[in-house]
Amino acid sequence: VSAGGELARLSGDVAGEATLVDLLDRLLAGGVVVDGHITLAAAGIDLVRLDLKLLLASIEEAVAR
Amino acid sequence: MATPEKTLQRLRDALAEMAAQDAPAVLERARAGARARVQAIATEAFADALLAQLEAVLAPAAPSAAGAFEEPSDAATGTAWYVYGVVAARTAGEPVTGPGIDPRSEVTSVRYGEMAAIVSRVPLSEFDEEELRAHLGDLAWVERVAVAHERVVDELCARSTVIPMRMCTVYRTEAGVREMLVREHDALTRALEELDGRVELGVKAFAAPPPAVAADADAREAVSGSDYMARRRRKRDQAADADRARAALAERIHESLGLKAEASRSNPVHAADTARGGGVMLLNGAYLVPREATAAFREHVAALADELRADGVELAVTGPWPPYNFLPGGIGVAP
Repeated sequence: VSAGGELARLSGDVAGEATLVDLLDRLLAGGVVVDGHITLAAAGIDLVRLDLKLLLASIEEAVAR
Repeated sequence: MATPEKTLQRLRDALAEMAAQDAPAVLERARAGARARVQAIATEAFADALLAQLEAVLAPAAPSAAGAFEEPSDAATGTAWYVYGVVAARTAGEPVTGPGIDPRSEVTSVRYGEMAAIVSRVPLSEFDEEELRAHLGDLAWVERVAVAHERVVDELCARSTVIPMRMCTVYRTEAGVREMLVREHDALTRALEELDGRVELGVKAFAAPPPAVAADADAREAVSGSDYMARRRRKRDQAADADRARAALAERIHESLGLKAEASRSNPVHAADTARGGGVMLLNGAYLVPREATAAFREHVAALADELRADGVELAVTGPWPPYNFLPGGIGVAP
């Protein structure tokens, strides 16, 4: 897992100095949240965010150590 | 002579047959009616009312007629639809070349009017509610999906404006994706217009880690109790001063960059410098710029970095990203 390193697997300019945390920052806090016939219902999305925020925190901790 | 029961049965049979014959035509009309959002809602409400009436009259004789109105299910294929983002339909002609989340399924589009949702099939064995929840705790899985998501969105972003979806937006059916496009049509249209030709750049500022040597030197000196307390106080004050200085510096950098952007946003800093081992992150900024101004913005960052180097501050630029941080309000449910 390249949590601390750079995202070599991303193509183009974004790869530059972006880390997995930069990517998850955007993918989990940004982007449109929609409703409807989704597999995780609107109520579940908060849980997802919670899970992923915890995950982010754990990555940061792991890297800081 | 026919009994009332037999007459009713024949009526039921006839209605069932008519319903079966009419179903494709009804669907076609519904599809045409759905062009305008209001009309779609009205059509749906009418269909529901009609369906309820039909069910009341025909039950239990014609379950197959009711079946024709049900949303087609993708459950039989064991897949669902992962939505990466939405683009203007006129820019969606060129297929996305890279693989999607599931390398076996090509990236395609679901269209409604001027909108196209960029999607690919993903297995329910990974993305159904329970399975998804379980996978979200698995960092390797999250990284794989995040990178695949971003790769598709980057390709779209390089080509035209894209409204990115939150990671792991998965619809059970293609009809569900289309329904989302119908529902969000106006908000998405506005967002695509507002963000047309814009990209997001990220700038992170790092300060060198504070030197730990001084503390060691202090510790070696033998000191009296009051000296020790004074020294601790001084050290705490110095740390507070350093925090204030860092915050002021971050604000200065953010302001300077903001002058070169159409919009800017300062996000929470990461707890650790994940790329450079130990540096303190001062600023985690996002800046919206016209695509053609990307190079000029990077030059401005480089010039600012030259000024800041003497203070031990480094800048790192990421992007261009799709405008994750600058989506106008009113699309979808509250974020």
